[in-house]
Amino acid sequence: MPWRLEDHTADALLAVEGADWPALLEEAAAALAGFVTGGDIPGTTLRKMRRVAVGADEPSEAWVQWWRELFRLWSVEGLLAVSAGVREDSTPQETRAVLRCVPAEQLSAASLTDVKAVTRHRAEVEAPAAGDASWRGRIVLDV
Amino acid sequence: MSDVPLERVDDTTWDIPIHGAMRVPGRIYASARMIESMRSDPCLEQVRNVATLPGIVGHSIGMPDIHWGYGFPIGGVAAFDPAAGGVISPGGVGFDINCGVRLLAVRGVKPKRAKKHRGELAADLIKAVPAGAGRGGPLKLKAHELDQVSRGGARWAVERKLGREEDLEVLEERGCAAWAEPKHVGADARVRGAPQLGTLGSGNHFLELQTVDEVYDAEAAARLGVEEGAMTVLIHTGSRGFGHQVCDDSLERMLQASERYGIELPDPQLCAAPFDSDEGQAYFGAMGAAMNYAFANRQVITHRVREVLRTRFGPHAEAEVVYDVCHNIAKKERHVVDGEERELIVHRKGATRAFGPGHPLIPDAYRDLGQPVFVPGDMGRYSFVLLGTEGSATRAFGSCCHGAGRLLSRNQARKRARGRNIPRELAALGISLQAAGKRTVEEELSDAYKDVADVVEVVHRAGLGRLVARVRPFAVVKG
Repeated sequence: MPWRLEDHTADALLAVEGADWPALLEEAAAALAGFVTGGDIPGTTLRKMRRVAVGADEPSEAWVQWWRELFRLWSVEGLLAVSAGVREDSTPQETRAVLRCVPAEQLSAASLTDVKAVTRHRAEVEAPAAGDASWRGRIVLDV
Repeated sequence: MSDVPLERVDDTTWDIPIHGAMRVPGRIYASARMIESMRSDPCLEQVRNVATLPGIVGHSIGMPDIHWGYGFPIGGVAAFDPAAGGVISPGGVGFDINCGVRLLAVRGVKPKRAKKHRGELAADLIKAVPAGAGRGGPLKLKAHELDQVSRGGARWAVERKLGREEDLEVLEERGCAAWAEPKHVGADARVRGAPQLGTLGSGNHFLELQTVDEVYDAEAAARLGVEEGAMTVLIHTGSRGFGHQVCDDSLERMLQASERYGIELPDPQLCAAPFDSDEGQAYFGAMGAAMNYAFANRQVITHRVREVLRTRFGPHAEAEVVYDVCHNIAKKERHVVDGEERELIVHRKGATRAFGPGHPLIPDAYRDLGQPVFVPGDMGRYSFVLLGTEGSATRAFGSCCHGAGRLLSRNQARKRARGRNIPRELAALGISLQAAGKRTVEEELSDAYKDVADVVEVVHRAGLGRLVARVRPFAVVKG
């Protein structure tokens, strides 16, 4: 499973995997959408597109920035990125992507989970070690 | 498992000795059984980390409901002396600035009759007080109105006939942080806050109709309006997206400020700035604005509750504000440290102010009693009414606990709820539940929380507060 919810006393710790950096970020978008909606995402609605760019010297900082972009779109603009197309040549230092978003009003309010913020608490990302094919990232959402 | 060393001081008090970069010792108020449970979570390390911040005085304190938070633990209290380079930290307040509780005492409604109509009441309340993820309400604030709310707090609502002048007399800070500076609130916080005033939110926020089922101090209970059998309303919510975003924006600025001021951080979410610095003052002003938003939010909800009660029970139905306390806040307060009275910045994150009798900041009506404190439990059991004590001033900067504290993660709670019908279980206990979402119900089930009775017992024995009454819910609204 590319993302899963791990135990955290009070909040939501999401663990995400991807074959490479762009795939990790694409899975992160799916993770936020899955967490917020509980998987209840309408399949046929028109998506709104948003271009985003993030980048930082440290992959962990770029990881937090990516999550903050996703969350800002949701909490401020009311657009939930249900999928992301991250440019294949993206790196933590320079990432460009197109997000396909569903407006909040097209989602079922009863199935939504409130998220207060994306935190830096235990935020981490690991590049693949020898013999491991995946990038892994963790993020804690304050809920 | 945490291996933080603890020295037992007495039955309910444990000290964490100074180690490494700690400037002061840690202090935990808990029973021996609670200490064992705390060791399964990194909250004791967090108490130790807080003790490394510049200007901290006394102890870095953990309440019996302490658990893992961001940087600072939830259930933590720490005071910093600005005259000694003391800092202010958004992580010491939390994302939900001035999340707090307000208790109303209901008059003119027979509790037996209200219980008979509990299902309809819960349904009326969730219609009147929007709940759930990101839900906005009927109030849509324009930019200048948001500034007015940020400056005026509960008074803003009272001036618009969403409350009464006398309500303000019995709110912490009279419902207004006078130091608020809306100019330090960013655009995103304004967008998030504009449609949400008068809404409950989700997670652990709730609105409950209750009755007083046990009284421990009849005289104090009568003074507070919580006599045995009386009907009460408990409102638990905060500053909604407005406060969340103020915290988030401030954390980013404070990370840079920590570097600029050479503050060593064992955890980036402890980021802080000297209180007197530009960054410290900007956060204090923005936090005050969010604090006021939360006071106004609970005031608008109070008004909606009154409307619901009057509509159902007639014009004689009345709900008087008993008191309103903040859980997540940093405030300037005067406390005695090492025999000297000093002005300190007291951070309470998941902790409640609990001033003892005679304190000048307690409303006239309660000054001889001590400050009222409300400690919510979970939706299937009970909550408690306490009074602050002199002991809380000397032992915890005038503070005590704020709730039960989670026992299970949200993930574990959902697993525990699998195959169960939680609303039906609550109905069997005489409790009607209305919730915006099924997931919140599962995550907030009673089993997910520690028994709040254990928490208040420690607080009572430790002399941080004294028990007055216990209240049990019969109608619950959750997000």
